[in-house]
Amino acid sequence: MPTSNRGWQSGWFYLQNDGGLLSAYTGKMVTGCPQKWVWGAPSEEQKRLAPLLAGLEKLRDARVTAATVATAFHKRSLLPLAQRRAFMFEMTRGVPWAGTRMLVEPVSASDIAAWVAKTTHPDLKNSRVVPMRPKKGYISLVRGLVFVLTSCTGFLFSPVSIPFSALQKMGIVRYSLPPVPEDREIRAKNRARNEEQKKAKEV
Amino acid sequence: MVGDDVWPPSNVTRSALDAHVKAGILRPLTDVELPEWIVPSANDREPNPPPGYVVCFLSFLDRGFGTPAGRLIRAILHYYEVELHNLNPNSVIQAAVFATVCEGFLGVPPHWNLWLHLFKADMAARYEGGEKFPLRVGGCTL
Repeated sequence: MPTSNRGWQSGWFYLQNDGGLLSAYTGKMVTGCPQKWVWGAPSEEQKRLAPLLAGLEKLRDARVTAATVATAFHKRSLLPLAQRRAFMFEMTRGVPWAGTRMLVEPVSASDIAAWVAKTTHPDLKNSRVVPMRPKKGYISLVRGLVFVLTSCTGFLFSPVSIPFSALQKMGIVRYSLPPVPEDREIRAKNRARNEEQKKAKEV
Repeated sequence: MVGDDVWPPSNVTRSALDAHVKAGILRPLTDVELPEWIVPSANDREPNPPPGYVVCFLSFLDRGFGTPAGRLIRAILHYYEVELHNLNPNSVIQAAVFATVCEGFLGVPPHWNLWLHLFKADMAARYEGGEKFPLRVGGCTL
């Protein structure tokens, strides 16, 4: 990351808060560091992270850095923190660009280099391009994951025959969606519906 | 007051935001009543957004932030109980890189427990005469 982003605080403007998705502006100042800021993942979830951590290790061994990742998302014309119709790994030819990519036309190599230099480190502006899923040539993580599976569960898979998505379907990598405020409401509704269904069955 | 942190005046211009629209990372203005974005007026010594607006930074747009906001950045603000202006550019690029690593390299949607495992938040402050003063902008570093 850049050692200095000098002057960034002056670059403020007002942005429409679509549907109130972002926390409303109150001018809040951070005056302390609550304990939960440093808690980490719940201990019962730690061992479930093993396949993902093994995947990260493999990416590190393949010299995937923040700059190569930034190059990859700029090349695909994506805003990783905005809502998108498709996840990056679902971006096959048939997926319409609208609602996923920001531009139809390809982003020029010089524009990508300028963005990467500004947002990561000037020395990294010409980082190599590492294809992302599902583009041909992406880094396969199967071997690393199989190692983890073998050591954790005793199962033995052929490293070339099981795609990562199949491992997910098998429940090896459990999704952990980032929590948003409306989740609580949805859970309460689901609980109420389940209870109603249970009562109806009992009658 | 000694140590009192102030908002710097905005140096954002219409042309700077138009350039971001052209680059596809900011939505064009389509609504006169409720514009997608507003250039602060010269009288705004510090942010005073109209209801329904938040304070954003150009540097966040260059680092992968966009609207409508995605689930990961919303969860970060919700979990750490901060507002967008409490983050800083390095925190935003960290989150964007994490989302990309999950989706584009690991092949899973952004994974919250992995985020919590890898990242911790800290209070950024200004130090003066051995004293610690909170920041009005960018007080939460990921």
